[in-house]
Amino acid sequence: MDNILVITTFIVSLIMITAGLVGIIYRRNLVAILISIEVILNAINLDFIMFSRLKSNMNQLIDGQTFALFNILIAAVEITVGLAIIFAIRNTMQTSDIDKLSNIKEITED
Amino acid sequence: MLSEVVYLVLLLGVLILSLVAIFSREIFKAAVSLVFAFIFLSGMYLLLGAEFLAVIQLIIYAGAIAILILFAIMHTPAKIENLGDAKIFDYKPHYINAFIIGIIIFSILMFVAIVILNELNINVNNYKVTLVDFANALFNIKDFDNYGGRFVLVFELAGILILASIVAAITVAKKE
Repeated sequence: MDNILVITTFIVSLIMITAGLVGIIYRRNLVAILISIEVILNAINLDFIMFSRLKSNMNQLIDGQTFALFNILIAAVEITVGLAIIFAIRNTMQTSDIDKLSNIKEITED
Repeated sequence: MLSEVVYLVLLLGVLILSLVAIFSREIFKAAVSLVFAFIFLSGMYLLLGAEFLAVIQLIIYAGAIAILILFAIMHTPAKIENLGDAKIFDYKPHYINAFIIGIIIFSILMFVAIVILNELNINVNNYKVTLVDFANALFNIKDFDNYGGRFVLVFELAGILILASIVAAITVAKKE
């Protein structure tokens, strides 16, 4: 039963990572791209915690969970700065669509 | 047996909710399903013996980050369009790129996964990591020979990183 749980969790986390990477390319909204990044970080956290449980050494087990803790912290920092950038773009360009921001050079020139 | 069934149900919920969060066209629905995916993940951490991380997941992800995302959605200009009139799948050139890249990445990841899982001998230990263990790994420098306090430098750097991110966020987002 443990085999099935570990393998299933690993496959699901791989699907989540792939879906997040596809979402970064596929979505046109800036907030949706941040949501995709959050899903990737959560999948990696799940892997850290699940694989650290396979270690018999106590210190290695804590290592995995501490990495997940710092990963949560990095995610919080990333979402803060990312949303601040989205607000700045909103203030200057009045849009949050990637396609409209790709001609950003033409907007700033005139 | 019951905990395994609950675990698999939570895993399925996390998968479905994450896919909805990434691929839903309505951004508000995406954010709400992301919140529920975080809550389900917190339940999975509880079953995996990481109780402190489960609580941290609830506080930071389902509390703070979800509110930040919803706040950003309500403050960004939305294109008011009637989604009922729009086609469910209107083709754009970048969709095929996303599909091909997804196939490539997933096959690479699956190859690596098969290689890893072949060599892995799986025996799960049921030790629960308590808050004392975290505090020992993060702060207890006196016990450094027994790997105590081995993350203290990372912890200090994380504090500097948070301070820098707060300053950066305020500087970038403020109006002139």
